Amino acid sequence: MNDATQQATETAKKLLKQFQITKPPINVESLATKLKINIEHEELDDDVSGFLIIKKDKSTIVVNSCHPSNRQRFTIAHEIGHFMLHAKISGKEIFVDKKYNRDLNSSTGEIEEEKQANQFAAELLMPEKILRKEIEDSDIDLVDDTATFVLAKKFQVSEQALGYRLAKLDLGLED
Amino acid sequence: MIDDDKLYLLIGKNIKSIRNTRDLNQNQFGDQIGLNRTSVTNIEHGKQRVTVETLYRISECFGLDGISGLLPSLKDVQKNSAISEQKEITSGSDTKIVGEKTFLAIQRRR
Repeated sequence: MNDATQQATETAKKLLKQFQITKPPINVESLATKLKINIEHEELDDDVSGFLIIKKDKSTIVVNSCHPSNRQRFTIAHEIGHFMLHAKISGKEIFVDKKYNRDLNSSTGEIEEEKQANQFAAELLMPEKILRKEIEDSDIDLVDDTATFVLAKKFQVSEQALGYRLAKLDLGLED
Repeated sequence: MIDDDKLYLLIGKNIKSIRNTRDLNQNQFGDQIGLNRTSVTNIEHGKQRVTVETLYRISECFGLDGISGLLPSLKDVQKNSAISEQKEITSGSDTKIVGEKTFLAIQRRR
């Protein structure tokens, strides 16, 4: 794990601890409210998941209401990541989460920020500790497809996001 | 090079905007062209690849004389081309290119 990844993970962990969140699904909207961030759902262009606007008094996350609800949750978590990790340091007022960010003139610094925000979102929505506990307690056999379905439902994340997370944490499938 | 995702996305946007001018909701529209509402949504968001015969049915439903009114220009579907309705958002030294809906949503909150 490099420093940036570590920092993202630690920040998410601290937040979970601070607000005593110990059970899935993680309520990202109420977490945002506690951080004094407004959440609004609105139809945006399809290639935009959402954006964050930083303001002194109250910041706002706008999430694309056309996207599936699990994806909207991931977007909110991702934007909270920008809020926690990058807002102060970069001095930027706007973070736009766009599909083509990566290949259209984005600087390496920006790609790093996006990766970090994704890492933060994964840890926030699927905290390692809680995920491991759920798997142990429920005796889930991760080789079984329906098990990942059940687990994804419990955490209210997409099966794809969960699969990626399980692989990263070296949980589950061994092939 | 043609960007397939962009192609279907733009076709979908065209369909949606014409449908709105015809005061049809997705259900009514779907009934007329023989698709369910989910397919209409997916086509309008470019998530389902609309077939040529469906494009003709849509043209018929809209009263167009062919399918060309539903199709984007070649330039708009080429890779790395900016879609015509894209706008610039500047924040400090940072510039972002976004579509119109996103642009307006940001402007309203600045």
